[in-house]
Amino acid sequence: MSIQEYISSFAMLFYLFILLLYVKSEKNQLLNSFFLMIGSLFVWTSGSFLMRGLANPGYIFWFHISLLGLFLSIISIYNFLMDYVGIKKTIFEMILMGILILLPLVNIEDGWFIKSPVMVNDHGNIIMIYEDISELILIPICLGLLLALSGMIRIGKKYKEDKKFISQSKPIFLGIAFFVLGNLLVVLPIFKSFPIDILFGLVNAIILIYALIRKDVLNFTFIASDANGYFVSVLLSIIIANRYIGRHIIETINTENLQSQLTMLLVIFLSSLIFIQLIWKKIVIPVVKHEAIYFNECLNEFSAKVAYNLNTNSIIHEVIEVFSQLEFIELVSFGKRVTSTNYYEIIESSKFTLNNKTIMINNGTQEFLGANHGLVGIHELMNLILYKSAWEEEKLQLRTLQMDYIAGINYTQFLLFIKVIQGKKFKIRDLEFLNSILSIADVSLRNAVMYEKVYLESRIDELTGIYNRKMFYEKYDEAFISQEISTTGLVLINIDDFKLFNQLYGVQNGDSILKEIAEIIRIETENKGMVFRYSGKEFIILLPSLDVYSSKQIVEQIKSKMNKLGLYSSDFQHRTITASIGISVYPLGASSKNELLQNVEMAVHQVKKNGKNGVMVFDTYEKGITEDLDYSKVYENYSATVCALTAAIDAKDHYTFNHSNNVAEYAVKLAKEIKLNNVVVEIVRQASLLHDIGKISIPENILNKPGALTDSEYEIMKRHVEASIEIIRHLPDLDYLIPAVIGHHERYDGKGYPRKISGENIPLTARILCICDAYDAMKSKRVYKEEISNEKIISIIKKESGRHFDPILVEAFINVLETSVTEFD
Amino acid sequence: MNLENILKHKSKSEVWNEYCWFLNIGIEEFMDIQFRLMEEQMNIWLKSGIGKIFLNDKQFVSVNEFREKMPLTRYDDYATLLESKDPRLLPSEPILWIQTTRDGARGTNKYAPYSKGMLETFQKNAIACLLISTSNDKNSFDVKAGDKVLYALAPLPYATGLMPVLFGNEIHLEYLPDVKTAQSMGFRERNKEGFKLALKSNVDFLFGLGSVVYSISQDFTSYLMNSSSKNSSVFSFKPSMLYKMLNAKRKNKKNGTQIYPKDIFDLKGFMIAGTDNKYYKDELEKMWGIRPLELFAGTEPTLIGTETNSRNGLVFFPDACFYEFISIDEREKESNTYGYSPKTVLFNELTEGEIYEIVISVFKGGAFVRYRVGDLYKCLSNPIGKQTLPKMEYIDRVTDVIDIGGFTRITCEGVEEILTLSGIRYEGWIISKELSESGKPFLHLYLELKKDYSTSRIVNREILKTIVSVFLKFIDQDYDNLKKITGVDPLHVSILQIGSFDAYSSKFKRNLRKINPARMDIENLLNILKDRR
Repeated sequence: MSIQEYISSFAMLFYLFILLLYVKSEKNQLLNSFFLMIGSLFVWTSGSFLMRGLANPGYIFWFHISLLGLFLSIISIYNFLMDYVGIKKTIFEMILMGILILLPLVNIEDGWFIKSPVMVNDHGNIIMIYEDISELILIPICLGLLLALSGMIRIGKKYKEDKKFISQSKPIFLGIAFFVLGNLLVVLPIFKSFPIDILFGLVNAIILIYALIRKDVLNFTFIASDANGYFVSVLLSIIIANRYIGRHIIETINTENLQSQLTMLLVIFLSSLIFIQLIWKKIVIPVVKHEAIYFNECLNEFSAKVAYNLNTNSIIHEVIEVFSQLEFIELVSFGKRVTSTNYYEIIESSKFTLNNKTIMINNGTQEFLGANHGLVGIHELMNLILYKSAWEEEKLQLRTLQMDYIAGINYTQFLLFIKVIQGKKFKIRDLEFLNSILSIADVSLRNAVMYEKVYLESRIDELTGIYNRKMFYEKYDEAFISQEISTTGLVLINIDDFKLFNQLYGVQNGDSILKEIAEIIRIETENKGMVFRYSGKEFIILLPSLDVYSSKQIVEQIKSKMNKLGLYSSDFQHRTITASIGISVYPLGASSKNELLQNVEMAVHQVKKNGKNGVMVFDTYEKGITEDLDYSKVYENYSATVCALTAAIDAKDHYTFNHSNNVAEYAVKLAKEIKLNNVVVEIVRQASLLHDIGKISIPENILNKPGALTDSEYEIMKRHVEASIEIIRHLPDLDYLIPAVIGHHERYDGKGYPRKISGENIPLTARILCICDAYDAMKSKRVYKEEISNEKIISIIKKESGRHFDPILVEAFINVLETSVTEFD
Repeated sequence: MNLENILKHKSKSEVWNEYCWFLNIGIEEFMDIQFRLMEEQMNIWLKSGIGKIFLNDKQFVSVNEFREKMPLTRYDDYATLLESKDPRLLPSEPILWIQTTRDGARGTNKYAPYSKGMLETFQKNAIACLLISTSNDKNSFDVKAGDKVLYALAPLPYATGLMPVLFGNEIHLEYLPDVKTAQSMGFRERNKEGFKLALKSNVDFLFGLGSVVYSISQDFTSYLMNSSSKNSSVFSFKPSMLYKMLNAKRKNKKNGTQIYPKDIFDLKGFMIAGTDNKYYKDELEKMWGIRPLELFAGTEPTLIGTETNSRNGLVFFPDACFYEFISIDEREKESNTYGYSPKTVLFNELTEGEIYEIVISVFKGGAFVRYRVGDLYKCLSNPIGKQTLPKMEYIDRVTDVIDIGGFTRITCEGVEEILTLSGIRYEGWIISKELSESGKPFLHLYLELKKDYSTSRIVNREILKTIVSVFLKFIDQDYDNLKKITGVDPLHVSILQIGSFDAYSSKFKRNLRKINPARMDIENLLNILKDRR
């Protein structure tokens, strides 16, 4: 093949390939014009190629086809140019174009302005010589020039209106210049046997394709499909096989090795087919589609991460992660609207510099961003009419932020800001990708926000607007996750005589007072801790990292403000609001979170018993008691009730009465041994006396059964704990005994009953009762068992240390036994 | 990006939308912008020293609440605060202070602080006016860097002096003469030099007070005929200008044809400011071949309005001030009821054909809120629901102030002071703004002298006019300027028959308003004694 044939055939194949893409490409006016132009170039090139190749039905036929193709190319390039720069064609131009199409048709009959070329054999090379060119050739030339002139004038006018469009259309003008130049150069003798016009026509097409790709009008990612792969593979394999036939088979067609030649041909065809397929799949598709594949993978991965995510912070983090991985993004930040304001706080950023910065975005801008889902260029935003009403502060802050894009998410509750790396620009597919991410994020964030709202609402007390007990437990647990070093204060505020207040002034007034108290506590604890409504008339304050002194100070402030409440009511004067307040601090006054909670409850009880309206810092251990309450009288009033109940036990079951007294004796000793304060010692004593009161409800045949209990009997027997609680619960003001009583059958290893709690989760008082109860049970002679010796009991207790009993208490109890053995005996 | 760069990089429609965006909006969008910006202004004004002095730390949740509770203000309310020029009192830091004469006869100044935001808005809106002045249709305009401007307005610190500075931030324009040279020249000298330069190389834009440009243009024939190239080389003229000049002179000599500026100049844009422009516009168009675009600006309100390319009424810039309007009925109620605070309406509540007094609150950190500028506007159209803005027409100053040609503000106190200083002893006087036969405004003082005064000396109209005019010029510099610049003395004096005011009071049981009484009242006064006879 000659160079001429190579160029022409390559150009033809190229045009053909581009034309095939039309089937799958998008359709719009500009692309239609483009493909029309490629079609025309194809007709012109193939006509010329086939003319020179003397293909059937003859070179004259192909000359006319080529001529028609050339005229069509001129018109279609003009048409494309006008569409590209956005100028509508005038009727005059349409008429000119129509005439130019008709001219080659008119020329067919008798070569009106150009006769068919004469074929000359120049040393084996076929050359076409145009001998008979009429002066009428000036007609199409003039018409073409007229069209070009009209185009230039109109482009000039457009340039006056909009100077920037020239810079955007530079490649188009360059391509057309190549086309024109090629057609001018072809008349030079030097290009007699070189198809400069075809080559420059091809260059023109390539430049225009580049311009369209750059403008994002043409997207060739769909080229990389499997179907196209097969098509290209087969086509190229045919060409390769054809070359093989040309070189080898034709020469040996009559020889005996034809069969082996044909086999070889088949092998070559199939090998090239497989080889090209492999290249297509492993190289072409990944290269052409690498961005699309990457985007798709990112999108799928992101979607999987956020689809079921109900945590806004985590979703925001994922968005920032995805965006900051993109090479064209320099900075991405997420702002959250500060409730009921037009300010947004930057809550997360790909660079820390922006975090916590606040930016004002006014209602107008918010409305716009809320209605336009997706990224909006900041400059585009600033050109909007609504932005004219933006506040100066907003304008200044947006300018200072130096971001390039902004998007509203979840109706602008969140704003996303993007800064693009200088010099880089978003392509349409980049924007589409980012917007797809944002759409997914929008839905996920909407769900997450809704969930968090419901979650929060379920944790907020309806009346006072502060967190409820449910939230307290969650935050309380959280506070103890990492409290190895720091302190945690807990304050329980119990409003005194609130029932009476409601009765005196009505529930409505009571509710308003509760609201006011909640507000006072909220204000006083702001930025220091969290306040929760613990029960109807109780508020609990969690003060992470706060010591006793600071906690007391806060409490004093609250107390003083609360005492003033209601005094200045416009209608009537309320009685003064007072509260019994308990404070305890971990780990100073309590060794576990449960103990801390029990301590504040205990402290409140003590203040109540001591006449209410007071504050007490409660420490489980003796040395920590800080308030000047008279402990000797604290539980005096209740001793009578306890005595009455023990008498009831005695009447029903004398053994249990004795057993309770014994347990009380041991427990008091043990409590004192471990230096518990007098209050706790007294509680331990009373709890010991009543710990088995529930046995009143157990049938006597089970209670005094000589021999082992059956499973069902044992189950009934176990119920005495709940029965005890039921009795104590209904007695006035004895509920402070419940923790000790309910836990006295729990085991340290969690295998006890009724709650199967373990270790320090079992209240200390209950652990004391447990060991003393077991000791006395083993020591007593019963109908179903003999008395066990002290030594044996001690060894059993030691054996059960850490299993049934608290190891520390075991040690202390053994000390007690050793020092008081005769006394106990 | 400034206009010069935008013109290079953007299409005409984009440039148009950038600056003349307010022509594309309807009343609803206009009101949205007004309320949003007023909310901003209210917030910063209330927090400022001036706001605290006025309202003592009161806070308002909405613009409407602010309108209800904030009283209307006049310059007197701000005078002492602004004269100190203390930036700590202001809602935002002032970049410059603009001033003008306060109540003509008193000889004191009014000061208005301009913040950065105000100046930026002024600048954008001034460029919009520049574009519209060359435009006949949307998106079509003809402004380019290097255009020549004949600027016949007062320099800084007057508000009109802001324009060249602000234009300069946006686009390079060539001023005739250049701004530096102009600063060292008097007003008349500057205009003269400007015209001289314009004759050599043409002029693209003319910007001035309607009355001044009219006065200059009227004498154009004699100016041109008397101007010769004896001081300048023929080669300093553009050939086309030379040809036009020679041709016009030839025609004038041959046929006595009047030469108009349009015969020589080819203006692209023509902008006028000031009052009384309606009396000059038609003739200015006839003389210059292009209808002037009227702008509305002031020391306190900044640049607030412009005519559109159809030149059939002005629209207000939505981002310059918050506009409220007092109807004539409310003004009447106010003058008849002591302590009555007139109600205001907003743009979307205006009635077509009604006349209103404007009340402004300057946006972007301006000092003036609910401020009575003292101008009357007529609502020409208020197309609710359509994508156009209400069209307004400037009527005049409020009736207790007389403004002639945008130069002077004659008040009751001013005239009293002049008469006292001049030693003229009078029984009564009234002064009104009237129109001459050629439709031009003048001041008309009706004076009833004391009997002994008129009998003890020679008094006639001319003498009285001379005396009053001398004191008027002495006390009111702007009036002097008016005379100097326009070359006309707009004062007429009529001597009333002795006893006229007494007769009027006893017949009509009321005193006449001294400034601008109704035409009917003046007629009654003039004829009162005739009727009696």
